[in-house]
Amino acid sequence: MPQLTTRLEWLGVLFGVELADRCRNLSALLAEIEGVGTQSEDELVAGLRAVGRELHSLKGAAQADGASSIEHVAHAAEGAVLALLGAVSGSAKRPDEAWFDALWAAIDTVKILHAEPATDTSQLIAALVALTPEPLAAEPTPIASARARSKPTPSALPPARERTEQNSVRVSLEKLDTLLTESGELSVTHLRIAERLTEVRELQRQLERLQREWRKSRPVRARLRRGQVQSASRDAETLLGMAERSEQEVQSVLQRTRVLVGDLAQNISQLGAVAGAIGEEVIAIRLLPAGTIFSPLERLVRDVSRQTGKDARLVLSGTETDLDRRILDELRDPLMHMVRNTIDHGIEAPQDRLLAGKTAHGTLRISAVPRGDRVQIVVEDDGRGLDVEAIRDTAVRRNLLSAAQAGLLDTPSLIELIFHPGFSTRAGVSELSGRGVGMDVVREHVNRLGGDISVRTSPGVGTCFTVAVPLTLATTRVLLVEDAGQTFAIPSSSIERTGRTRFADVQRVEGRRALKIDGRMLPLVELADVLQRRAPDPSAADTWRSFFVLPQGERAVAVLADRLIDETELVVKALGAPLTRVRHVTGAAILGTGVVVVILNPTDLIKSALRNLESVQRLSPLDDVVPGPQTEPPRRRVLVVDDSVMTRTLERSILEAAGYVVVVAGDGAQALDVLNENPVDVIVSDIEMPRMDGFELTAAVRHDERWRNLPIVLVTSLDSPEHIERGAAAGADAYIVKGRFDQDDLVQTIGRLL
Amino acid sequence: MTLPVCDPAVEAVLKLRAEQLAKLTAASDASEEIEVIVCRLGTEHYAVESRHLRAVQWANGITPVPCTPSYVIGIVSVRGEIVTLLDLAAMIGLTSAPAATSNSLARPVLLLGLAGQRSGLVVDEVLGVQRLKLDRLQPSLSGREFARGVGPDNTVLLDLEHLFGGGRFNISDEV
Repeated sequence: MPQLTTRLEWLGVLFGVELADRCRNLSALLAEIEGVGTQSEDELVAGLRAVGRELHSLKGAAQADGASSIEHVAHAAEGAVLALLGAVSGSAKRPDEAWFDALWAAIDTVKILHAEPATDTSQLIAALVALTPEPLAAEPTPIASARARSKPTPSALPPARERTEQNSVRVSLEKLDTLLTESGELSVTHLRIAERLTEVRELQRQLERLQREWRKSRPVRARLRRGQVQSASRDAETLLGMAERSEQEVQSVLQRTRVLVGDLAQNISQLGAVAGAIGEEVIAIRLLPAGTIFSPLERLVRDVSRQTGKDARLVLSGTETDLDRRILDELRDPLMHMVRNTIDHGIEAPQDRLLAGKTAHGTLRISAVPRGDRVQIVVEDDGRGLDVEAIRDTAVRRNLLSAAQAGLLDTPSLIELIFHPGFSTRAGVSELSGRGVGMDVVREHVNRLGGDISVRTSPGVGTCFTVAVPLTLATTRVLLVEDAGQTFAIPSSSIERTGRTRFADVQRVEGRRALKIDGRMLPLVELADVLQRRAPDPSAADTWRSFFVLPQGERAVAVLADRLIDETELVVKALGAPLTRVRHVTGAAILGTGVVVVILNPTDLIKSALRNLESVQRLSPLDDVVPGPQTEPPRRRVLVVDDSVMTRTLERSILEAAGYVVVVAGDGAQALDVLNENPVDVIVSDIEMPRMDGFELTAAVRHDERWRNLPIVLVTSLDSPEHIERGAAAGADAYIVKGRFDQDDLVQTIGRLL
Repeated sequence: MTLPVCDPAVEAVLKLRAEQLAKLTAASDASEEIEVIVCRLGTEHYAVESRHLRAVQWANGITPVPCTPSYVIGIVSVRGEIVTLLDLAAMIGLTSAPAATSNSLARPVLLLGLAGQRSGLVVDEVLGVQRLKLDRLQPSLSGREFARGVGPDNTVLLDLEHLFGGGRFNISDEV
């Protein structure tokens, strides 16, 4: 945003912002009055008064800003509103269509006037004046006397709306991003300070060792002293004295160090709490209510209904559901498109609806519901539903499929076709929605946000679109992957599956390297080759390596890397000039430890991978080696507990490959339930989990007679002595640190315990 | 110590003469003077205008970025912001200086303050700040646009705006 150097410029910006607000409010208010036909007179009066007040305030603001054309329009519109409010307070004339048209036109014109102040408004003003029986003053009178004329009385409109407006401030998105960055740095610094604590603890241990040494020397010193009495050596006396003083010194330093460690630990813990709270608040600040993009739809529904000769009513719910403002921005256009589409194609003409036994007006329900870390936006109508046959015909007509293929598709697959680029079932191109640039673009917008869209339909009954988007874009869930000495991050939402494999399991199909995963044969590539990095020499045929699967429509690619580290949430940062666009890279992020990782672009990776299947053979010449003799693994049962699906799947694949039977649970409580039903031989559990964490689970398991001796392995990303001690105190048998563990560690550790 | 009292007429002449002399020296110093940071690349000295720089820092722990040309050493975090580190020697075509790799120990970085750039130039050593008189510059030996000239002690003055202008080092690739 350019620096606003003059006060005038700043005021101009403020006016523009206020203008937008007032127009939004006016639209909502007008839609309310117009929409529900069966309003009581009280409601009508309240609504009209609210509209009048908004226009009045707009007039004042325009006057202060010197925008006289806007001022005049607002004045005339206010007159038209006042004309309806009867002389007897509490009564009002119901507005007719001409009145609504003029008022809507006034709102539109005011917006245009802000950009083009010279626009001709004479026709509009004439129309507004025509709605006012008694002649108004040609020039708007100064605000003071106008206020005296129309004394605004308290209305039934919820005062809460005005109050929240006064209690809020506008902040630029840039400032919020900066705040987010600083908050991230705060967290990183906190972690660094926590490391210092570990070092101080080391010092404390050193001092304790020193103290023990001195204690050991006491008997020697005592003997020397006794001998001293007889020989009276000055040197011995001096040395003994120094020894005494030194031991006391060590004691004193050790004491102070202990106190320091205690205080430091407490301060760091407090710092961590504050840093965490700030981080959460900053992310929350980016949230805005869904109503921000829902409200303008009211106007749209009205306009499109008019244009198409349909009668469609909008019902909104969940308008107060919060979403990241970037997400709201991205969804604005797709939502408008879906609404247009629905009214144009979905809702039948009033006569047809009546013939079908439905109400003459169609209902469009739009709602926003939070679901965990996502928000579900549903666009539902009671129209004619999607015409599956028409979809099939269009697909064939547009050569998307052959007639034979189209004949084989089941209904859900046919419905998926509407998301295909260039698809539209309308024969002609209607101005509104027939261009066929519709649902594929909607899906693209949604996917860009890391969300997905699905549709259900029932012929003659209606259609329902469900859009699921993440709650916040500030952070993204990624999978950390290590390959040839560097760590990369890949957005979790783009990964279909992960797993491990050995060269022995890689096959050749159509001359390409492939891997059989979940019954599908997928092409296999090296991450290092796709990224054009130098890779170290090929490793032995029985080395385990990890892969992740990137899907693209029906196809998918398996990408090989050295190992998968963990799943985590990161704040994504753009790279910036001169790196405007780098292949295979979307941005970078700073890990909690302060290390910078590159975030890879899954779409680019897939494109390159599919093109690059003839990559350098890292696996040869060991490719065709006959697999070594398989030792018979013990068929023991393992319970894997972790709240991350990715981690559970990863650990499961490691353990299953080693020959174990695996059952899973999402948190401690669930794990206990599973234990009750299924006998297991060992538990592998994460520590940070909702409802019941790893320590509590361990304690609970030990408490029970049946499982007192059941081996428990705690796996976590944190490496701190306290956790290890806590784990041991609770009764765990082993402790593995995720970031560092070689995946063989897990198998070996379990092997040792069984 | 008190100054000798002067005859006002004499004083007036002296004052006039002093003013004229002052004008002369001012004229010879009127040539433009700029403040530069001098750094070493290999065995040569280079200068860049300090007004083009945001800061001078140390960088270690550089993360390499795949699919970038060799003059892009990698990225680092500067107080939470991602900054791209470029090899100045490679950018101006110096082959004598050893190529900076991301494995190098802490290297000095000149953080650029040019509009729209979030990058820094890695050099071998930062030697200090100097004031350079533009009229004492000899023409550059290579005749390249971004080399404005050679200073008195063989320091080459680089024009960073020219170097980055035209987006020569901009990377914008699609797959």
